[in-house]
Amino acid sequence: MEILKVDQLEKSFRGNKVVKDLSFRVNEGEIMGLLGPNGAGKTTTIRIVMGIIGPDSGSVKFSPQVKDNDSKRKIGYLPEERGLYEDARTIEVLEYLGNLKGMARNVARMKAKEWLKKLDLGALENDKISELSKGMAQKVQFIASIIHEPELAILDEPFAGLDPVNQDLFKEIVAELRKSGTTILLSSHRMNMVEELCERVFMIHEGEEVLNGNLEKIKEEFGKELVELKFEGDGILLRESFGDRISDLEIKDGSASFYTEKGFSPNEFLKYLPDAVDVKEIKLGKPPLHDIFVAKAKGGSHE
Amino acid sequence: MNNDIFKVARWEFTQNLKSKTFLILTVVIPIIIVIIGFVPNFLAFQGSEEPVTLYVIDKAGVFKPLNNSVNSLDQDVVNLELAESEESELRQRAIEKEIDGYFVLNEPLSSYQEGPVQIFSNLDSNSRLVEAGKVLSSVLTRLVGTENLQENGYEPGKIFALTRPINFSPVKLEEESRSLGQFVLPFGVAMMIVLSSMFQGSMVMIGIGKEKSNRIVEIVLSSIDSFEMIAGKLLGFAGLGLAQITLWGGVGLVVLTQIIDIPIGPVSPFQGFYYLFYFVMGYLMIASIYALLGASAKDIQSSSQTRGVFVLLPIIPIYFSAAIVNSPEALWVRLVSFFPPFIPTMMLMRSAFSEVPAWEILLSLVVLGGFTYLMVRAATKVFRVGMLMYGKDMSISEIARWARN
Repeated sequence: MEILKVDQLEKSFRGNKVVKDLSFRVNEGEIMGLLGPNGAGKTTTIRIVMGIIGPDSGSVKFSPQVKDNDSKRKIGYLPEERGLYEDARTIEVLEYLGNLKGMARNVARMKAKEWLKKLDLGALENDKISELSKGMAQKVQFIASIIHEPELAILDEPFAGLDPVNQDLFKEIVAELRKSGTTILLSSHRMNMVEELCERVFMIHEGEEVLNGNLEKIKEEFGKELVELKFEGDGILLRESFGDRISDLEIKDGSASFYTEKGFSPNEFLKYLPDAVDVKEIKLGKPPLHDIFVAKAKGGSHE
Repeated sequence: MNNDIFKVARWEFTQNLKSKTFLILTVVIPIIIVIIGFVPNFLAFQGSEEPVTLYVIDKAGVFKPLNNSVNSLDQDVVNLELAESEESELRQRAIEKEIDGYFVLNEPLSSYQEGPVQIFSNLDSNSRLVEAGKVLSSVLTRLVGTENLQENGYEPGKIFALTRPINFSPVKLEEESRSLGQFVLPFGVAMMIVLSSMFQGSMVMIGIGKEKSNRIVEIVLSSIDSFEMIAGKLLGFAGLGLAQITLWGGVGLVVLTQIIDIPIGPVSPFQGFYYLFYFVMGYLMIASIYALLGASAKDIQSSSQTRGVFVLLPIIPIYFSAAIVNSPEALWVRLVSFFPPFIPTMMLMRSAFSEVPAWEILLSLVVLGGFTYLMVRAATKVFRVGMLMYGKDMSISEIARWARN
């Protein structure tokens, strides 16, 4: 079931079109990735979805289970830019923001304590926000966005600014949230992170749609396979032998990686292996999202 | 009313009540009031207010009638004590300033008609001794005169009737004047409105600026709408203003009535009503203007010249205060006091120094109420747009456009 329907959004700032005819859906119970490099229009799109800014045209519709009577309480929102009440105590801020989302204050306080403990901030509940490190403050803000167990959590760049340990922690928590029934719209420019979490992605570049749909399907349709070889011998022979059936060939002493072009199946590829190259190891796999994006974005700009 | 408004109001109230800024503004100001109240009073005391206590070495046996006469006078210049120790000891104590001073009365008292009674003292203020000497001189003159007349055969009762003193008493001539108590209250209320509204207003403005620059406003507005947010803010800070005024007013009243001893005249219900109205509307108007400025500026630091003028708006009437004191009913004063942002202060200051016609007060209430309504509305609308507008100041024309929309 669709929980969020975005149709034909357009938005310009001072004559500069930053969102161009974007349409996508978020389905109940999924993690949907909104992807694109910096400046692609992700945050603008999310702000329009949240009603923070209005679109020039197009529509944003939530299903009644998320938003009825204009109440945004069943939505959790982590803005891209981080900020909290600097002079207030951590626990007070969470209690207040939970309260604004419709939780009773004591319930919000209890939940806040649970979450703080879970994110290793239990000892800091009475510290002022200004005394927290940037990463800690980010965790607090993350808690604020999901403390009320929203139906839909809209997280804008949740991993930005976190160290690898905390990135993993956040990934786990996002996965947990989804398991407990929260639908998640996750915006990020870190494609590798999103790839591990999302079933579906909506990828934009310079305000335009580049990819949209099921991640596996996208990879399938992309058609290329990523091949990684370890070998002994002269790697240059690979280029001669495969010609334009492969692309993006990179050779470093004893190893090579490249993409097979569409239709050039693993079977065929084996036939073309030059005898003078003694293969020790072959790895076949789907290309990472990043590479698909780069290919598509390049192609898109040529069209 | 909406529950979310109260949530915001409570948050703003409790958070800012705990803030250093609020404590400083609220506590330091009454201290200044107290100091201003105390210092002139204290300095005045240094002059001659306290009576001098003099010890009498009574070799003439007249202490009792002398003391009775001194006490029967309505004076607070001198007290007498009968000396029980030796003169040398009194002299020492006087030198060390343990006592104010002493004098000796020998027999016969009439001998002092030839030469003065010497008061031995080490007091710094000679004028107090001179005053005391005058009182003692008149009392002693009567005492000696009575004695002399008695010796010459006059009846004591007749002597009293014949020698009744003739007193002078000063009567100060001035125009029919307003008592201190009559102008202290409206003037005080006017000052409190200016100060409290400015303090609260600037806290609203700074708060809004911060929320805007650290973007927490996005989180808040993802839960409630912008009207609830600003209404809650204005309400929360109104609570703070009220707490502040109550404290100041309380301290001020105690200082005035207990320490400086200025009676605060009775306040009629009509006065009570318009004081309150001026306060509430004055606060709302100023806080809205400040909120509007905060929401339309790029960040807290950015403040153009034009903004500065608006920020100073509430204190401008104070510059007119001298003129108001001198001619509270001059035509230009009356006209300026109807300029909406000045109404509460100017009207109260005028009413402190003259009788402002009731119709003018009523008219000012209507104008102020209407203007405040417009300001709150404008602030709400500009807030809605300005809070989520980043990276640039709104121009005056943009503000005007959004405020009207």
